[in-house]
Amino acid sequence: MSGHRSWSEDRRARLADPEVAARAAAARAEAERVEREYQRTLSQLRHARRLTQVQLAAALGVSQAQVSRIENQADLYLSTLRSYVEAMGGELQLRAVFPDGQAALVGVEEVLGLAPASQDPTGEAGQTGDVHALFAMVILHAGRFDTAEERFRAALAA
Amino acid sequence: MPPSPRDLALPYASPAEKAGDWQHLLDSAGTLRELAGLASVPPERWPDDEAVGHLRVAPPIADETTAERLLRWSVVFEAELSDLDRAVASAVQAGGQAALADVDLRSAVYLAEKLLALLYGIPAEPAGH
Repeated sequence: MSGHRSWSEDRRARLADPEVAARAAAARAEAERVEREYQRTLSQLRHARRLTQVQLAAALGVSQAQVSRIENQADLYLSTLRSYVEAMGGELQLRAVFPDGQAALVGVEEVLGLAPASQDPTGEAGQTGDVHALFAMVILHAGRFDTAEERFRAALAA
Repeated sequence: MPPSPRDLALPYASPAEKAGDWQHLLDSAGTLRELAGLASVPPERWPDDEAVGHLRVAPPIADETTAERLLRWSVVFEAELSDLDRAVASAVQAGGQAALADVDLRSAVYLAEKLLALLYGIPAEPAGH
């Protein structure tokens, strides 16, 4: 077997070439970026925001079991996904990507305007599903507003 | 004594009382929307209406101008203003007050009053509540 190099030896030899090493590093970085941006599950996103299912349930005005169901559901309604993301403080964006490389943002509000509000997958919020989730946020804000004066003045001091 | 939140879980005593609060919320939300929008408009282009009138007589904090105060308010309470506006718009689309639980409407009215009161520098709790 003289002259044979193992895979790891071969890899080390190839990576000794600075150009190859740079390409490999760039590819790894790109893979990690894609992983970060596109491969996170809802529960991973929630963990990254340091939120528990109970906290998110309170923000959404639903039970912890419902949050768990949403995170494990295979085919979510857009309105539910948007509420979930917004309850974490984010904004849901839809992007259409085509084989020729063209991409465009799709208006979430416009799409939701075409979808009946009764398409709430939890089946509990009924025709006011989005209203319920939005007012859950309002209730949350109202409950925390006792320190608003300090926040308002602190912004001036800063 | 600092203002304290009303009992947000208290049910409305009558449909008329709830209808009154709903109208109050619509009015307040409209005022908040107008004021938040004016934060990015030069003060010389502000309309001469009631909402701006209250703002112009707000007690100053330090040497801050009215425009600076409005901008600070809109930035500090961006999430509250945005969520409240979207919630009210969504409720309107869903059929108005009938779509809302009492606690939803009371909380929204409370939040709207607090937001306006902080900007105007007046106590948040209106008489009679």
